[in-house]
Amino acid sequence: MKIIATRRIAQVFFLILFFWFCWVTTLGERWWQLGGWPVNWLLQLDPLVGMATLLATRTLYAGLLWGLVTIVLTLVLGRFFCGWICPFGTMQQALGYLSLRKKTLSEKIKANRYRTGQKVKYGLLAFLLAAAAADLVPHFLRLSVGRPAGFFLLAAAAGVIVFGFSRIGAVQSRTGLLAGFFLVAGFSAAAFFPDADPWIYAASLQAGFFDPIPLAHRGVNLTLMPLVRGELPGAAAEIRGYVGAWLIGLFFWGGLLLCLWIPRFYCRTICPLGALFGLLGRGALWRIGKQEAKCRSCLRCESHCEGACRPSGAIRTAECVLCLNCLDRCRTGNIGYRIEPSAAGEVRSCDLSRRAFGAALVAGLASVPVLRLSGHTSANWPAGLVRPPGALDEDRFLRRCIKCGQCMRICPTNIIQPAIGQAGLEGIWTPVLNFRIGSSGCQLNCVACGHVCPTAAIRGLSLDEKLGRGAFQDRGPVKMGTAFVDQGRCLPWAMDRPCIVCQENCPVSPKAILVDAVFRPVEGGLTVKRSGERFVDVDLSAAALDRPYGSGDYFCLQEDGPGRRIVSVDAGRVAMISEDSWDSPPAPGDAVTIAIRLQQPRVDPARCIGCGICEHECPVQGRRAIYVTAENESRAPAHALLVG
Amino acid sequence: MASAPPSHRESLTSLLILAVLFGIGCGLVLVQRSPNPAVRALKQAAQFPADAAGPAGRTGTRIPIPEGFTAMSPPEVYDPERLADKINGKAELYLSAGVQHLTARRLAMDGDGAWLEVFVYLMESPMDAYAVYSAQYRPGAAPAGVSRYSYTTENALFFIHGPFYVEIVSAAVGPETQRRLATLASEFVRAHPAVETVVAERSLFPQEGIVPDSIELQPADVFGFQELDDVFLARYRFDGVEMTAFLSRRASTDEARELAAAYAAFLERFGGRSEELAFPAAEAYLVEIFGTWEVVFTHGRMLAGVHEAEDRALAELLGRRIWTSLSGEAP
Amino acid sequence: MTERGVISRRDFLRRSARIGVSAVAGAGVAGLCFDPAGPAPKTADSAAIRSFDFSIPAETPQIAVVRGPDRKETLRLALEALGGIEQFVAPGDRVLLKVNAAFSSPAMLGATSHPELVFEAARHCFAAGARSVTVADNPINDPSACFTLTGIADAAQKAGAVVMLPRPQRFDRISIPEGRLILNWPVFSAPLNGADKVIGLAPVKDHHRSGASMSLKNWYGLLGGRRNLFHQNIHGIIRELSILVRPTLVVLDGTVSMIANGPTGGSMSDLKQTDTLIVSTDPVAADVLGARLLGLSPAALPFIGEAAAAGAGIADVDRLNIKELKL
Repeated sequence: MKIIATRRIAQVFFLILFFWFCWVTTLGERWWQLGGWPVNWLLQLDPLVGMATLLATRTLYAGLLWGLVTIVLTLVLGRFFCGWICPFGTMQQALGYLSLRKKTLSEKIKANRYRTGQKVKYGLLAFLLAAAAADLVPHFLRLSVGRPAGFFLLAAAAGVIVFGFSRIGAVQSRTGLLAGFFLVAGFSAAAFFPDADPWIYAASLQAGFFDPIPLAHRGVNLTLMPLVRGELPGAAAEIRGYVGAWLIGLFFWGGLLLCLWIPRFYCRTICPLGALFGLLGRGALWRIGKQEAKCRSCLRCESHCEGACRPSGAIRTAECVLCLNCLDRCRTGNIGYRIEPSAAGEVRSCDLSRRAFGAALVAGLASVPVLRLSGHTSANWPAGLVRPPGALDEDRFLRRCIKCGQCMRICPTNIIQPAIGQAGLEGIWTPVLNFRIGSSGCQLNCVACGHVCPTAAIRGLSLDEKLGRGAFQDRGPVKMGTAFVDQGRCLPWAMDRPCIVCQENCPVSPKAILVDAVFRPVEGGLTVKRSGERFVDVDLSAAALDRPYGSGDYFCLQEDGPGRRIVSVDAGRVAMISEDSWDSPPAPGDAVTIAIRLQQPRVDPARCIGCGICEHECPVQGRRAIYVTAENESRAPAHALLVG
Repeated sequence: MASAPPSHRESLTSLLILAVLFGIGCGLVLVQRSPNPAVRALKQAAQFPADAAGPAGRTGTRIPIPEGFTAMSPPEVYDPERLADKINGKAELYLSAGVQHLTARRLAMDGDGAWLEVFVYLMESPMDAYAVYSAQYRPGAAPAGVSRYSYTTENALFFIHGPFYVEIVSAAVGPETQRRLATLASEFVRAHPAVETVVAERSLFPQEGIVPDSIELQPADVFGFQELDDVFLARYRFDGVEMTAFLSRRASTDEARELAAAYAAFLERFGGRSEELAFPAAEAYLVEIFGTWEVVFTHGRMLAGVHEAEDRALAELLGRRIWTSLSGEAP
Repeated sequence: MTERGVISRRDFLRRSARIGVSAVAGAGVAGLCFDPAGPAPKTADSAAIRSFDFSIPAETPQIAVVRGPDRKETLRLALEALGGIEQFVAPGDRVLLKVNAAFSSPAMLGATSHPELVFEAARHCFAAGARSVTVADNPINDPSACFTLTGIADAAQKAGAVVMLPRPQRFDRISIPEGRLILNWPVFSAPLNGADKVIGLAPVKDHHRSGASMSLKNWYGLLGGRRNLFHQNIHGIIRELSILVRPTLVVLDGTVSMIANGPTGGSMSDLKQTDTLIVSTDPVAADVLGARLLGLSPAALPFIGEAAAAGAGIADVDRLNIKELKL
């Protein structure tokens, strides 16, 4: 059996797997729902996710250990992930094949030649990893403050890392010196400013923005899956909206369609994961190469070369995605996948200049403090940024979230939405709750988002922890924020219209929304002409006839007396029910008032969990008269509204 | 285009890789069998929805369990399609009155261990709740004091509260049981704040001759006349002659008038014979049908009348009394 | 870069070794950092439980009340009446003067500790042989502006004392024993950690929220974070502050009292010449005496009873032996 046939089978297998995982990421236990499907497996296999979160958090969360498998295989086999597994790569390969199908051989060869732009991805990788590692130096410095031994140990460790980096690193060894220089400069700078506020020393995980696996998940989850609905098992009954989906779609579909211009454009030029694999696999045990340096130079081997790695000459091993097309196309069997290096030579450098590499590194390191100056993780925290239940505090959250959109896909009420500006530039496409777009608020018994988060940016809560039961009794329920009543927009507060929709829908027990009953006069000073046990005759204004006096919300009040509920109004006669009592009915000539009984809602912040069901249900549709902000959110004790 | 046929090694590698893919597939299916914690939490919540709705929104009404009671079973929720599974023949009564779902749960009373079952019917509106409440009212029962419309029997307590109609039926009998059922009922009322339901029409029936506790609200298809819905009925007995008075508040005066005329026409269509009626209302009909007399009239938005009276004079008398009552005059 | 199409045994081994080492290193790092349980939530129960006690054990509180308009003289007389500053400050002590520098308002408005008193207190400490005197507070307005505009910075400098400004790293998250409010809360701990004796210097002021701001309320200036949350339970927080800090001595300055529009004041008409200086080892008793200057009884100030119940001092001042003097 031909190996490229096997490769195609593998690609289709993983592409189907990818779509299947996206499809079943809906809450339920049927086989076409989440059940036990390891829907994060492809994200976990992606070592860039693991590596970047490791740099940012100094920990490697559970399933991300799969990335190690990919790394080891890449060290041995080369960049197989790109050519055999990556669903985004497979989609591009398929599109690229279609676009080149009618082209001549020379046109195909031209399309698949190496371009110097391919080095861009290495710079991007350096930038992203540097941003993820931006506070490693201050972190170690803080650890070693006051401990000279610790300081020297760390300095030595840093030296070893720098040395090792210069050996196996991206470029020539002088880069190591450069990195060392920056490391030392960083240490000194941090030592010079011990007084500086620590909140700008942070790390920011932006790898997910460009990493093709989160990118593909985000793209498919948020711009393709929502369009499917109807009778298929697992399809949503309603179209699920996603805020700013157009921008996500632009990156995903745009990234895909660029391969009509240059095959595998994203893989070759932008993909930081590909860059990582390229660097890791440069010294692989097996590699593609020619047996004999001399051949007929027909260049057929390059006609379908997915990596644009120039197999006909000195092959660029870091660019080769192991599509094995060259092996298949070569008519003389000169090309093979062997332990011996290519007879025509190999180019192992990734072509990125030291200067560009250094610039990318520094830009990455510097970008985080500059981004953090806006204060969105400290004093200027955005009140509108209501994160899903179990989300970590903002600083730790931004070290983990890869913007893959898994939580947004699983959320049964569709309230988890990609942030556009709420979380700052670095928080783009991270999850934020939006109670207008979904079908309800956050459901009490649902903990789905945390259990599909591949990096624990949202912790997987147990129901007990979310609801503050059992072992979590003392800590109370997980709060996402607090609801506030806008008295200027609320119907019973501002417009004399009875409404307690928010109170009725509050799922917390005892309810976090309380109502105070007030009687608001609608028509006062009405003179009684005639009266009986159950009625008074008065001259009502013309406007009164339009009011639903008989609705049960209106009362007839005696001067300083109790009120009686009105049953109906007909031609100036106000009829009341007799089951409420009047001490003595008003005599003709007495004044009565017609008042509406309103129940004005207010929120008890000690009970409110910020689930947003009230905000979703509020009949004031435009800007809700009750809305949730992040005050009191459990994830940030500093945002507490109440003490003691 | 193909060059040489695949070598033995190539085929072997291919097979190996396919085997790995197959292994991955099997592994995934195996992993799929142990559900994600989120799915387990969902299942757990569906079994014991201690608090409000789950993600699917199909869970029932929360039944709070006060001290002194222990749950014997998880709550069972029945939607209209499955209501008959639980209450069999009675389902039609609830369905015609607009039931949304029934939540039922068995509890044990601490101490004597006697068990009871709570049935909470969520209706579309408080009036619908009143309709099923009044239709099943046990005459002579003592008020329970839980809500305006509540009563207790030796082993059970029935009440309406907002859109809920609640029945608590115990296996034990006696005043102590009644007291404990009242505790449970009050706890439910506290847990579900709602505006008190007041059925104003009850006070509009004249007191003289009325059969005690006979007032009920029929939600639909009253007297076999499809257009007649939401009608309050009260039975009367004068010297052994029985008849039924009825009242229904319509959306407008015009609608009331049209409906009165339509009902009279309906009676005539089925063999009724109209008679002249001296009555204060402009719109008033007297129809004799199968030996009984029907009076129908309107008063503002009110449609009212007397149904199946065996005596013409008494029918007219009751009709006039209802009219007086509707006019707000003391009788 | 390798140019030939053949590989020597040595090259192969070297390459394998490099892959092996890389894989093992990667696995090692991954293993070291492996975190199957995932991150823990941020909770409020992780801070050290502690309080700061600088009081000198004595059978009864020692209190002197001196009437007169001249702070320099009233302070001298009061200290003399208590047996001299030497009773409280030993040679070599590092003394913290916790002043009230809450607002950047001029000294004459009486919203902050009077610079003359700060100067005199520091001078007395040095005279007793103190190694260092630190002046500290975490003001409401910009710290350095507060210390400068109130004249406290100048006064401290003249006396040879050092002003310690509230920098973020000078705070520690602290919970007090059985605290309900000061839980995992940032406390301006650096000046306390570096002190052997603590003297509170507070003016007598009306306070809109708590009724009066005197020597107990003065410890509020040791709190960091979003401390205005505590205004939801002002008496409770003053009670907890009285547990957080037990001072060596408090000097309550009622030479001029702010009798209205506290705690900021802003007008001379809010002030009243009350010509009283209270020096006390008991902050609760000092506040009861101070409250009298504002015409308030302890019953009107719940925090006094609460602090007394928490063991911070004695509210029943009539039982105490108070040395009353006049200039």
